[in-house]
Amino acid sequence: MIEININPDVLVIGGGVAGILATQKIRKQGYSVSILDQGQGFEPDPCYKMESASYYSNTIQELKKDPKVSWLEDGQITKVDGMLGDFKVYVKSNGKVERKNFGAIVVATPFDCIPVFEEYGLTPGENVFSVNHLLELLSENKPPTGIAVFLTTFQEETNPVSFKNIVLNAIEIGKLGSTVYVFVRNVKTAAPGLEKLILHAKNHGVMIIKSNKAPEVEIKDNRPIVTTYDPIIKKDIEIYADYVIIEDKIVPNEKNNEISELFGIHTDSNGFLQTNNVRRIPVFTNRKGIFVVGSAANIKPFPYILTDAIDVSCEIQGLLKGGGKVEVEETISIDQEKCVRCLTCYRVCPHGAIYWDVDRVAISSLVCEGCGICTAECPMNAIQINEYSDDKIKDELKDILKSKGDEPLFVAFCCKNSAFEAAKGAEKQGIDLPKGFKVIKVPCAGKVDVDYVLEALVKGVDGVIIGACYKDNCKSEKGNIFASYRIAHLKDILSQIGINPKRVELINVASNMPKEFGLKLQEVSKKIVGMGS
Amino acid sequence: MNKKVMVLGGGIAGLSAALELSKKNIQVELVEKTCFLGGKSIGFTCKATDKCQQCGACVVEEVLRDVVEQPNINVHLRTEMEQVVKNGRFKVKLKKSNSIPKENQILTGFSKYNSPYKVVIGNVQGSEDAVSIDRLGTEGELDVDALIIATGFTPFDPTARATYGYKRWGNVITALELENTLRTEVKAIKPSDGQRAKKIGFIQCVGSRSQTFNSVWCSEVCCPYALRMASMIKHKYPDTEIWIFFIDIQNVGKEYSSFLEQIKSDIKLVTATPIDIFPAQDNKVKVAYEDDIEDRRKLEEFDLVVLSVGIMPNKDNKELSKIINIDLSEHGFFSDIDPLRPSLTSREGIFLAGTTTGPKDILSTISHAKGAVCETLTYLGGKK
Repeated sequence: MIEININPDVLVIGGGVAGILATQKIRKQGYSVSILDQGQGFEPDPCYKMESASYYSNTIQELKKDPKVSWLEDGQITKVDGMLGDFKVYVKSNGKVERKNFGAIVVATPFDCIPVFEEYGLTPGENVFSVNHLLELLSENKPPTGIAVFLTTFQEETNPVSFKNIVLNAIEIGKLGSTVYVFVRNVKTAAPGLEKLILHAKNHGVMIIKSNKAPEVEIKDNRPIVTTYDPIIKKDIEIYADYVIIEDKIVPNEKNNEISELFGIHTDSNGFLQTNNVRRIPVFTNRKGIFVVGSAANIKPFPYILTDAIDVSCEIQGLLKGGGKVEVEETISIDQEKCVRCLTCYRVCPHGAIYWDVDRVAISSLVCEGCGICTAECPMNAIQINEYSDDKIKDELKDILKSKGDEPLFVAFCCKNSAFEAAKGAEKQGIDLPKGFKVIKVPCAGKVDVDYVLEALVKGVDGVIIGACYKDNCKSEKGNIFASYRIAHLKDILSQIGINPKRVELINVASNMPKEFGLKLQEVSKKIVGMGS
Repeated sequence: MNKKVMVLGGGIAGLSAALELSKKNIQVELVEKTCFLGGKSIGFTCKATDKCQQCGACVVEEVLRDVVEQPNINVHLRTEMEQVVKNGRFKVKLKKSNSIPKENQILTGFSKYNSPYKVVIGNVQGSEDAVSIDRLGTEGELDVDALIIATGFTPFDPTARATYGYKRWGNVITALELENTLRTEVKAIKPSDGQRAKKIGFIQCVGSRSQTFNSVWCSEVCCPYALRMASMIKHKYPDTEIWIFFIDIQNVGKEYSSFLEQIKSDIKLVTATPIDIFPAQDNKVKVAYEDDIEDRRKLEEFDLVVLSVGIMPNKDNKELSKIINIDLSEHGFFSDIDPLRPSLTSREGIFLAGTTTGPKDILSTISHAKGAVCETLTYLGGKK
């Protein structure tokens, strides 16, 4: 057992709706919170303003009175060290850098908005402006009147958050006397209450017109004319508008990339701070103790930001447990005699569990998820997971080899999160598996060392299968990808030493698909049986 | 003394709530009406193509495993709640459920963690390894400190849309049935002859977004499951032709722009609500729809038509609402009383988790259920 000291303070990054909600919920669990705004101010994100402005201001007021909330205004994070229980974050604010310690981090960066004027060849002006600008006009009590046309983005699809905001604005200016049209390709309804709101809007005179093609806008005598084909009345229509309101496209916060680098958390292809991985959605990142809420992770309707915030507050309670000393069982260790300080493990660890401790490489058993990618990548075999040590796995292999009879022998190294479950399921459900099929459980396909496979083949196993999770489903982000690299490499070695490389195959499968696993195994084993031994 | 919480419903919401409670050392009484844990989502298929599509079906299997392995979760299968009386704690009266399907059949679980795995009703040959239904069910009273309602949803019954011919034409199935078939058989099968369907039509919004059926909501999950199943089938069997009829396509997943581009190249997307479905030769089915672009009625023939049925309130909600004395929303879901605390009900000590409050996908349901546990713990902590 190792004793670790857990800091019970939490850092929330982002002063928008997600940040405020997260702060409120984490405070409810009793933890002190520092909330950092990176220059956007403590304001609700414009796209949530209509539906959450009053809630937002009430919450801010409540939190301002709370002595356990610290406000870091217009701050910039310059450096981050440490890990769960003891993050050290350097924040630059008012010209000076200060180090602060936190037990957990919640990333809740607000959205950025880009109005899509360009898509329509428009420049903003008195009668051409964005939805955000309309919000300003409304808050200044200067609502425009006349014929209003809302134009959503047609280049990509809009989304339920942005669309809801447009519908709320449309209802509002409709009430104030405007005649309102909204143009959209697909009406986005996938948010709680949105379908009903859209119906309400229609019943109150808002005309929502669907079209496959973007309308065209021409400015004539300072008046925008919107032309489009109406599929319902089946002809072109022209609307002489008094003003045109352009959608603000929601994009990830421009600071997300910086945060990704500083904190070592991965982004998805859009730039949200969470990979597109089912093991992470909705609030987890690749690092234990760092969470994402709402707009930091994806475009989410308001009620889902709320569940994210509550979810995160519970997770934080589960991890920090009030702070103080905790005992952690040592699950993984580095043999310092063997270690040559090459830092390969540091580079490959997807969870940021490996660190430099004065003069040596160290692993935190608190943060380690036990995937074993580092153990397989370590060129010196210096790292061992207690539960899945090389010796234990090789002993299992030896036992399997003893059982070899006349039939071909197949050994499958199966990830405990997917293929291992599928194999057990196949057994239970009486699904046909190749005769002579044996399973060795591994914590992740990324744990499977090239040595294991070579040893198996050399000592008489006819075929080796690595059962892995699908891409974007790996609990350790890239364990399955490491496995596929290694197998490609191994196949080269095998063909050089005269072993048919098809004796080794990687199979992707999900835990709940035993039949599929059975079918894929049959396919592989048939080829191997055909080779003879 | 350890606190005890009853979780009503053994689907993914109830399982997630039970698991979270148990991890916090709370004793759980998990009450499930059917003979199996896992609810509807345990029968869902993995929808991966060459990569995972984030449907969350595999996660259900994992949560079920963890629940089964927890020692402080007491499972009551084939059991319903009959009465609740609050006297400081809650005194809950349980009874055996009678809403079990017809006699003389063997029911099988979807997961290896379903225990029992096979349940026999009546007399059936070859049922030696099955557990008799008569051995399942709890009757009597239990005292608990709080209740979590996680009774889920009922899929829209497409027989109400009579022109679609569900249950009349053999090769018209629901998306839920397709989920189950893909999970167990790994291909889309025509019920008429057990062969693989080579041309499939999905019809979206069956029951959802409808004023006729008083279901003025988007079920939020149907575009994701239909598009994901379609791309999975197309990946496994590229010779399959797939059409999807929809009103408005909804965004699927975190990277929906690139996903939609991919879908458009693989699958034919048609903006139309089909009017009629009727049988054609060789057990095929014809879909009649209005083509907006050509402005005329068109017919298209399919091997298999899949109805993307929506998420409706659980059909037992009215009865349950009376038992627990909590009102339903105008649409028949259990509604939260405070929009900022989505699990709270009008009765202290009773909380809501999952699709009982409205449509949610698997991952959102799990998240919502964790929130319900959070509220429950706050309640238990404050109640000395």
